[in-house]
Amino acid sequence: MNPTLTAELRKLRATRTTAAAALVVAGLSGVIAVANVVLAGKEQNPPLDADTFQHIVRAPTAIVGFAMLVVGVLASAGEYRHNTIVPSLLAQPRRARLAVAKVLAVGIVGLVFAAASAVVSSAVGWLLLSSRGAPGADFGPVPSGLLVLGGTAALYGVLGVGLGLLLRNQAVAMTVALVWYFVVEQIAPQVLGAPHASTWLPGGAADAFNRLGDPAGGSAAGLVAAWVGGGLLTAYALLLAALATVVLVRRDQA
Amino acid sequence: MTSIQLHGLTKRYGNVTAVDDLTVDIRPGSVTGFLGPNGAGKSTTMRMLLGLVRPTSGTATFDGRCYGDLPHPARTVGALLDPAIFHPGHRARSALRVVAASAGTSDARVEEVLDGVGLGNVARRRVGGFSTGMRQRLALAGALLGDPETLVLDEPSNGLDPEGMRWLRGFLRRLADEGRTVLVSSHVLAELAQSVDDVLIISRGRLVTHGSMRNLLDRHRQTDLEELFLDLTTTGGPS
Repeated sequence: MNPTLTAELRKLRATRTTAAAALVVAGLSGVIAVANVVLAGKEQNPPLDADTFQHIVRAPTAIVGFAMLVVGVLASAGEYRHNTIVPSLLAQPRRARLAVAKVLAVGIVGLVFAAASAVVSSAVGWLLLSSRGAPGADFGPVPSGLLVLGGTAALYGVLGVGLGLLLRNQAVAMTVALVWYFVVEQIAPQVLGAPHASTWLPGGAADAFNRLGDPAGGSAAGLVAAWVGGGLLTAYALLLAALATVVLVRRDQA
Repeated sequence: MTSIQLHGLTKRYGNVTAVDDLTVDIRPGSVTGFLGPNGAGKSTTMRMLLGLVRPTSGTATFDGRCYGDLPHPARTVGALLDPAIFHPGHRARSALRVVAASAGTSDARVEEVLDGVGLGNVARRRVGGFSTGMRQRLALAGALLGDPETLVLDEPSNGLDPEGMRWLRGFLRRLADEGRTVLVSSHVLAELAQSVDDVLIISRGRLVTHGSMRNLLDRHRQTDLEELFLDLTTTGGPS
């Protein structure tokens, strides 16, 4: 494996925050699976049916994506906070390669997070559905659900890396990420009476992507087609990472 | 054996000139003390040499090659610019293994350098719990990982106890005797005088003098490095 990529993966593995975030993601995936089964048929929730299992697998997508956004910011802006950017740049002075390695490493960790989430939610969901005598699961949409889960995790991680490299200050980068994720994309459109305002933003694109291959998903008002959403989210992640790379290459490291 | 060449090296930040037309050849097989008052431009010069800061003009090279063009930079040049370069949550061994991976050196070498700087028995401790002196030793271990021919060290004795200072002195001497190039900046001149062969002094970004410490002391009729430094930087100015 490329030495710079190996170093980036080692960095993430040695950082306790990464392990803590993985445990939180796995735990919440289990809780969401329990909630999906226990609350089925109550209030406006659909009853247990053949689609329940694939919904359980893709339900934690937003949480895994958000966790990876945080991991991405910490992996990049954290380098400036702890001054580890200096040995990183000394070991790999070709800065574009360092940025690519960082993006790949966080993308790989995103896939690991998605796998951990899928394993826990599948196991918990399967056990609960079996114990309740639920109808046989339709596994057809599960691969697309896994693709959405892994893709969203990796792409949000890349968005976090781009944001962190661009802003450098970890507190500022984290604040921008949180404000964007919760306020700009979720609260502001509701408050301003324009619920579809985030259609073309990363969050709207991720919501659309999450419907890929979901038989119950269909087309929803205010969302683009699933494949367009996936492409849009990929474009946002790559554009931000490219911009951050250009800035990293040109900037003096005082 | 690698020599360091600075040629017309200049760095301007707006109207401020941090380093001004610096031209020097630093020979291998010697310890060169890099001296200057605060704000003289030593750190900026070292950062330009290591590719962290882009020169406004001029070049800083190792045997004619910029740091970024070296095939294996971390195995050619070892650098210590700041002791606080490791994540406080990482264990000492893990922190060095990250550097080892990117430098393309083995994990076995990590154990060697940890033992070499006297941190072998605390390798499992987190860096956040280290004293300044221990962090300095760890940063030095990081610089040595690639067994480099050239060392660029900014204030390596900061935070070291007397035993550590003595160890560093002998260590730098041994490296130079092996034919390596050592450029070391320090404000502890009495300490530095015991290990350097050559002296490079800059002030306000410009070269004041460069040469063998013994010759410079004789030429300026001084008996110690501190007197020579004060004489040249308070009254002399660039020559």
